Amino acid sequence: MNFDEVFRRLYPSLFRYLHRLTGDPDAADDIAQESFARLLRRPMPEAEAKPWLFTVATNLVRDSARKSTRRERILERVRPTPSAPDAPDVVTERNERITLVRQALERLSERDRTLLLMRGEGFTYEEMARAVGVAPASVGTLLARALRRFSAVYRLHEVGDESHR
Amino acid sequence: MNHIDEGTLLALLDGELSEEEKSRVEAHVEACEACAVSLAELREASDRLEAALALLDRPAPAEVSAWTVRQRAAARRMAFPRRALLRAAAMVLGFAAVGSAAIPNSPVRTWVAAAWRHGVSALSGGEDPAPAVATAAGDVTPETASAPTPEAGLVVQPERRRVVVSIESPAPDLVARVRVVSDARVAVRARGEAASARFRTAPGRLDVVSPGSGELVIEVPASQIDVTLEVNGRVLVSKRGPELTVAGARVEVRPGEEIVVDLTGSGSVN
Repeated sequence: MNFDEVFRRLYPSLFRYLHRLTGDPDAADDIAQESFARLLRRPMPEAEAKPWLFTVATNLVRDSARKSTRRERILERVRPTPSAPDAPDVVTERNERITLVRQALERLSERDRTLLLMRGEGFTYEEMARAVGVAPASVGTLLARALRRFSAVYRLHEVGDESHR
Repeated sequence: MNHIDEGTLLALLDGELSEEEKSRVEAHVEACEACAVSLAELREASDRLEAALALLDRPAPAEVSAWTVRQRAAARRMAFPRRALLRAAAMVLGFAAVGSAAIPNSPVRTWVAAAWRHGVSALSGGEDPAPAVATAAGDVTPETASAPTPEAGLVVQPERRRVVVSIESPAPDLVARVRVVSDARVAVRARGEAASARFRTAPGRLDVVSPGSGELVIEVPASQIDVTLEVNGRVLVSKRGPELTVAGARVEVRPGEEIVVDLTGSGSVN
């Protein structure tokens, strides 16, 4: 496996996937780098590197989220007064739409979200099935349902958002 | 007529069907209005998702390369040989202890017992007293230095009553604590794989590069020394005089108390 070549080819895709998943560019970069660092210790054929990397990265996100949730629970008791939110006129329409997308993604189950985002990175159904642990034949159905759910929530938010303007 | 299920229709859009299946599904969709509508809806939902996700995107950091990943992996590997050696030493001592147990009052037995206690303590990594702290200004030059043990510590000399501690590329599960102390000095202690980080020092500054999982404790004095904690170039904690600010919010922390800093930058906990 030519690591440099694999990195050059897959890092932008993995970063984009992780940023879409976490919404945090620093975490996305950090987890992407950590996944590649682990790949260095596990040489494998190049064809297998992509699903392996994305699966490891998804697991790292899950572990990180679990720890954050634990900390957040404690944080609720000691959190200082939050700073005032930005004034409405400062928030751009783009930011509002980004928030809508995030809300719609968060309404999905972790598996559905992972499937949709992996599809966005050009994964085959076979690769997605391995990554989330389902039968390859069920991927199309799961994706179609997830797509419908996302679309329904996103469109609902869009309509709600526009009616408030 | 049996309709085509949505999973198969989406597989058609995604190019996942065999040629034979594709022909069959396409022929059906041409003749079936309900399936044609479903296919159009799926295509529309797919386009909507793609456009929505594109809103979230930003370019990947240009400064990250295969080289930076290799550096990160190499920094982490440094921690493992020592751990393996300690395990091997503990095993040898274990066998020796068993052997010497047959000889009552043997001085070897006493020695093995003491060494065993030390080995187990080193392996556990948490039962030893606080690690020795080197003075950065005296013992470590402003060049890169490797932390020599699974526990390491440095004192940072303030420059004009200010200290910057910068953490670069921390492991996702690294725990960082900021502890307010009554001493008039800034110290950084690393435990676990975090101790394999590279430490770069300069007057009034300490860079902790690629700390692995484990724990970093940053001791900040309650006195009038200003301290800034940066993570990947972003200021997460800043102490100006007695005031401590974490992720933009004021936090009350008295001497002897500590906060856990969320390195993703979203907050802190006691």
